[in-house]
Amino acid sequence: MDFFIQQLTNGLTVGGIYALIALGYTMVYGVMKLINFAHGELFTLGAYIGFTLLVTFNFTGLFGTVIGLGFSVILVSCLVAVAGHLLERVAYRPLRHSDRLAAVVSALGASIFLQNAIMLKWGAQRLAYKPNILPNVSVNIFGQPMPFIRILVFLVAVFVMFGLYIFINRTRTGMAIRAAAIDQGAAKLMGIDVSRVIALVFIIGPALGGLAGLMAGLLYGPINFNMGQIYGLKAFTAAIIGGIGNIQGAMVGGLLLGLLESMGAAYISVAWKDGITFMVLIVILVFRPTGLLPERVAEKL
Amino acid sequence: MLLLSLNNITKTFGGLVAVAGFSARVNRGEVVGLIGPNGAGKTTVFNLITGSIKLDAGFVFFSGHSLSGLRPHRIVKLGISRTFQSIRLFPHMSVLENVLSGCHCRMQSGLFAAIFHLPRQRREEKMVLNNAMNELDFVGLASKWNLKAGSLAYGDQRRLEIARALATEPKLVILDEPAGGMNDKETEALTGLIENIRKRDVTVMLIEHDMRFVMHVCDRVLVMENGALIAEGTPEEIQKDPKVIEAYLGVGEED
Repeated sequence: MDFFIQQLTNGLTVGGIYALIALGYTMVYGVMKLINFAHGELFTLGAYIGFTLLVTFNFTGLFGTVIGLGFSVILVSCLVAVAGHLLERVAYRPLRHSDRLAAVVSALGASIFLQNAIMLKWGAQRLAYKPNILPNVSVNIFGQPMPFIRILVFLVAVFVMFGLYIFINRTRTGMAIRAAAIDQGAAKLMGIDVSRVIALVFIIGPALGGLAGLMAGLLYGPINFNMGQIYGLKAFTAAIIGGIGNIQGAMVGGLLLGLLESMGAAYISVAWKDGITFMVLIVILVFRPTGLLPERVAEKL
Repeated sequence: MLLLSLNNITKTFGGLVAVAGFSARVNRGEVVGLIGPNGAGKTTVFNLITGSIKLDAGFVFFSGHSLSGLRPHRIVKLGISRTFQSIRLFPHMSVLENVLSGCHCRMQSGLFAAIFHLPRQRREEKMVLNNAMNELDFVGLASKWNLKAGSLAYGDQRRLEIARALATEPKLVILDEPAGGMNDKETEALTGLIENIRKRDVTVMLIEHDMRFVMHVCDRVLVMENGALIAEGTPEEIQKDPKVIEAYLGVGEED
């Protein structure tokens, strides 16, 4: 039982990270019908900017744990959001009216570019977040000592997802995003500036992805320049599980994938951890390509 | 007073000339019908006015502004709004949310105010909600505000599209086959609705195949064939015009 709870919390934590990344994929797909293949690299960028702030500049040492970490979270989200916005301007906007395949190629190109840029800036060898950035305390849950960082990551992920849910469903801007996702043409003719909606989606998604990068660094320690590939692919799988284009789907899909992965690693074999993820992807694509949630693909954000 | 003028507007798709030097004027307060056989280019004219597609040649002027090169949402802001031949509501959103999406372009407060829920934004939010409910009331859908738009009956969906278009506070509303698929009773109600729209000082332009309806609601009728204007006049004049009779009889089947 202890072992199971350990795996459960582990799965929910990593699932929270997957979900945050998956939201970026799914929102962009919802509005533009484009898979942003460079999204994984934005996640990596978040991890590296977080490294610079927390390790190189020692933010938590300078400002204290709470303020230092809060500062880092806000800065990482903002900077990666800027990067995402630039990416949309440079790599996608010029291709908005061309063939969809052109945008896909551009996305792949942007992914390679970003990965190499990160490598040139921070180096090819792996770096590691220091384990003492956050106080090394544990909380007891069901009699199990739980590292504080795990709880924090999960809570932040849930808090951010809840905020996004409210934003999309309760605010006027969120409604404009939903309208543009359902029917761009009709949205334009109802006075919604779809270009602005797209720009906004390319700010929110990367901000969440960057935040996920920072949290992955805090949670595991080591980061490297191509970590975004595997995280990106897994988050993409999570988005597919929930039904791509579906925001609630990405949240559920991320958590579900995290759980599957940690349970699979624990009860089947650690070696099969990634294999399980991609088997799930294949099974979903074959039997339920529209995702597990009931809404149809991309019609609902 | 002149509201909209189309000067020699032209659009070709590949080799096909959809609209060939079409010119027309619409005065404020009028209800103008645009009729013609299938494929005459009527919907293309509407798409050119609303900026959904770009003009190859010619000019569109609307209350003193040239619309050339303006993006659709800018044109909506200037005061032109439309409905669609095939209904294009946001089916998963509620009836009220559909109308609110039309109000979107009239809202002043930005993202900043929305996030921090400033008082100004809250007041505006309240006002917009009020406006949206009024529009629903206007088309007779107020009691269904909470339903999903996609679950409404066909006639209700058409009326919801009109409410959504009116929510943008247009000077000119363009209706593409508003009576399409409606039964006699619904068409009659639509006639009353258009009369009420006119009373709000909103000019109406419409495409419709139901001739009885057109002749009943329109002050003036424009007739198109092969992308050009072939006749223009009051419903009575149009019905007697030999060119119009030929265009319709010559084409044969017409619904």
